Amino acid sequence: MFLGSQDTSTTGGFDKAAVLPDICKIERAKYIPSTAAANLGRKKPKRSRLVQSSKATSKIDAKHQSLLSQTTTEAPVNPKPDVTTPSPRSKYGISLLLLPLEIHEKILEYLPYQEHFTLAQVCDIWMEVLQTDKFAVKRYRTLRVGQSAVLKRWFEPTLSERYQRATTNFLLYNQKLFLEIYRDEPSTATLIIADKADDTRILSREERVLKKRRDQVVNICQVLPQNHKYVEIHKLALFERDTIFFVGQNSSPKANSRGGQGIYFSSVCINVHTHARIRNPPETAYMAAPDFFCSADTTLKGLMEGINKHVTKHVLDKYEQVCGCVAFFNCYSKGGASDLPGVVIELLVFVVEPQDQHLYVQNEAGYYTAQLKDSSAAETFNFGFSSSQVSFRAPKKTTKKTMSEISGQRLPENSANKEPFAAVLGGMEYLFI
Amino acid sequence: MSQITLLSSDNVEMKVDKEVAERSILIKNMLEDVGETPDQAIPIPNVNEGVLRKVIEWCEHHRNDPPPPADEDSDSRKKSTDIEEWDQKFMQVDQEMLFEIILAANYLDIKPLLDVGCKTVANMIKGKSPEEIRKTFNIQNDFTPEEEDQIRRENEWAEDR
Repeated sequence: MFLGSQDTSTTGGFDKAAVLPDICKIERAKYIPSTAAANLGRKKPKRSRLVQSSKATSKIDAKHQSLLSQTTTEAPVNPKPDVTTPSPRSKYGISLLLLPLEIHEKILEYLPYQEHFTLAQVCDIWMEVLQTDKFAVKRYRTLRVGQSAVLKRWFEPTLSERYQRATTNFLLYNQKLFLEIYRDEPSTATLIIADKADDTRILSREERVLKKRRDQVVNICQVLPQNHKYVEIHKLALFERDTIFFVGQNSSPKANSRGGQGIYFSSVCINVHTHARIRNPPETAYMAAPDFFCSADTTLKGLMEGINKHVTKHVLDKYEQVCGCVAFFNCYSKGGASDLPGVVIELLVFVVEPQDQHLYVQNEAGYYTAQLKDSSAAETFNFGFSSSQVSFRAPKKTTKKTMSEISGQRLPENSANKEPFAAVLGGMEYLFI
Repeated sequence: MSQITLLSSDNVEMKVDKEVAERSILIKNMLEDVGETPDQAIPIPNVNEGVLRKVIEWCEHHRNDPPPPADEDSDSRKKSTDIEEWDQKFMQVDQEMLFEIILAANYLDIKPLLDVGCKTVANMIKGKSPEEIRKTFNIQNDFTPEEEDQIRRENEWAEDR
């Protein structure tokens, strides 16, 4: 037997007390404070090994302490203590991590949902706690800005059953989460969070430019809170683990033969220069993504990857003039008879104007009109008025199909209505072949 | 007013008004089960003298408080971290004592004290970055350098808060 190795069976209660600090250390060593650890192949801890209820937790009492100190003097002494890896009890008699799980939950309950994404990075106990339905409900339910009848119908039945599965659908429904997919840029998933009014941090130039760009885009879809900020969550741990939740009749993960519920796109075209919204015709409002389904096990990350793949394949790779897309979740269906069974996504498609055919919308004397910026390009267009209708047509297909036909509603000259020029971009259905 | 004796884990006896001791649901239920004021000291095996004195001090101060609502946790979203001034001062103790009070409150089933303790910890956490939280609570960081790097990137946004 080598020095330092002892047969505990012969030492009785003496070693029993001495074992306590080692247990603490072993417990802590298993904690993995982030998905970073998970990504690097470290095993996710199980709930059962977490700290048990304090009612069963015995502390090191005075007797144990004396035994412990006795043991310390008799055990082989390490002359240079390892200060880089402090034991939970090295500085304080008891540390936060040694508190029972229910107390961790209680502490975290007092913290606002905005902090969840940060807190999940601290230690794996918190990560696990924050993943539970109780916290997911708080996280996503709080993001709700207003309650519509539809939302109530879809979600409220589950409210009576407290803390049902994670309700990511709130996040999706309320357009608080959006995905940006730009050509030759990495995709991002961003959360819109109401900011503290007293936050006076000065943004860098790059941050201001990015925020302005996002404000323009997001404002097209919704009214932004007065104080808000954008938080990119695609690299955060909760993003990888929070799952989609289906409520209503088709709550099964296997809602249809293709392994889940469908993703539908409602496309809207945007002129990159003006950021004006151009709605596609109603009959092409919902286009199914045939090769992408999601189930109750689909994580936010999985959903985003699916959308990214679809948009890249069917939009970016197909149409040169499309420089990027922003996906919002504008509807969530329970899959009833009159509903689309799945998630409906509003896709803002950014289209670069074709060269030499600069169309722009100009406000003249209180009303809107449409003109060709470059008059020489007019030869390639049929240009005409019919009462209040303005239309442009490019018969020679000099532009892509998506730009082949544009028509719009011209407001009367005496109208005080400041409604922007509403144009309809034809041929958008071909974006989703 | 009748008094009972509590016996701490380190064998120190403390006399306390029954009404004060009954802020603890655990003791209250125990006394109800016994049916009369016990002559013997009630052992509190998980709480030492120092902590038990603090808990009794809190119970003394809050002896006339109304009992907490039964279904207090029904809506955790509305939980506030506001703490009364007296309780704030009461909780100005070192971390070890703070956690011991929380554990004792949990063990003795004194919900309002447990709430104050948890709120105090929550206030210590609020607005901090993960690294600051680890530092505050002496939480060991057992990341590899690769994990560290990834964590740092993950936390970039949090640093802007």
